[in-house]
Amino acid sequence: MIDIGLLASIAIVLTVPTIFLRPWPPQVVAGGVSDVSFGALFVGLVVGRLTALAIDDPGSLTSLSDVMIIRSGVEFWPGVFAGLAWLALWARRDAVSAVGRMAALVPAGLVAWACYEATCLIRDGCPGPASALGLRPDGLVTRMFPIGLAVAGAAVVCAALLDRWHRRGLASLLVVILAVTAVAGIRAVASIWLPHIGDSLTRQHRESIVVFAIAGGLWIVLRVRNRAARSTVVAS
Amino acid sequence: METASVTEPDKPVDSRTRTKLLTVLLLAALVLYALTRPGGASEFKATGDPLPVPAAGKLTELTADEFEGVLVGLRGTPVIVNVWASWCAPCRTETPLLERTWEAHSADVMILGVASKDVPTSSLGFMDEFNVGYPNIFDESGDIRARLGLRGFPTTYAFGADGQLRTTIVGGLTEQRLATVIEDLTE
Repeated sequence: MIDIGLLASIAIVLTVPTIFLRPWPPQVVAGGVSDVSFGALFVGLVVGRLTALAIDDPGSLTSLSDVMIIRSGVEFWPGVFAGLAWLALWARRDAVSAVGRMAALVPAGLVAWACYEATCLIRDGCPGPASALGLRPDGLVTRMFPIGLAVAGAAVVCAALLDRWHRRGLASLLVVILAVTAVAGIRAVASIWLPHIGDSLTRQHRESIVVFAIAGGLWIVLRVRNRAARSTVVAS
Repeated sequence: METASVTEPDKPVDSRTRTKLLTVLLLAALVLYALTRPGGASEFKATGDPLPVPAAGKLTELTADEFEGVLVGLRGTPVIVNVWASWCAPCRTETPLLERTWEAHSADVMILGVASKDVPTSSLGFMDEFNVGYPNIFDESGDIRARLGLRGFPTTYAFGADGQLRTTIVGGLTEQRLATVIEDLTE
């Protein structure tokens, strides 16, 4: 059965970032932004889906029809890292900087993620905590604050900031690490308010906290090292 | 300036702008369709004499009338009815989620599984595989799914404590969606 809401979400995720974002420097995205990013998106989706199945229902891994039902769950972070690995691999093939290419695609990636989150409106009505200020998902009596829309807004702000900082000279590696930290932070915070079953943290919440801690720690280490190197140069 | 703008020939719309406009229009149409498509809830409301809930963790064969009797007997408690089949892929993903929900919310929400378009041995095998603890009904004739107006497997129906069908979720459940429905039903 075709899920119109999910289909519309995917169409928006695929088109909006490529329509409205500025063209990228050809030296980092030789083949065009869509050629590069669609491949990463596809690989991320496949790896994310396979990981979800491996965790939840390994018996279904051998069934192509089960694998193809992405609506049943895609593991976010394995998908993201697989997409980044694919980008690195193809950057090597194209003889361009892998980190430079990733950094150039960060705003588009964040806008694509924002589009997916914002299209919760047409998938499930954007659930969140009960709130007088909010939407009423289909068939429910409770109004809920649309967490998905708030996440989308935060992602767009991050995309704009990182794009600006990158163009002003922030190192590509720091842009990529900062983007991962920001996404993990947004997801970890949003997960606090997302409805879930039981009292324990959801898997996506735990994963986002771990990624946030690792990426954030890495960013701090690199910043400290950069500053130390700069002050050594000035002193000498 | 005004004169110039009047006499100036119309600028041709380049193909890139046209593509952008077309894409935006297409997306807007898609969003409009998705937002205005008919809702999942049907007019179903159980009637008849109240009957007890089948034993938890077992697969009990019931007719459509008996199924309605079970729902009538459950008035006062929100009910989640999940129609599934052992051959259905998304059912495999959502069954552990429903089981977890049963463990966490069995005091305030009843979960009823309805195995339909299936063979009893396969349904039982499926329940064993996922250690299903909530009551399950076997819909041998297919009348239960017909009365519920089933459009595809799996489908989950959420009934309020008043027996009113609140919402219908066609396709696989996500934890977020199910938790939202439960929060709403128990509000």
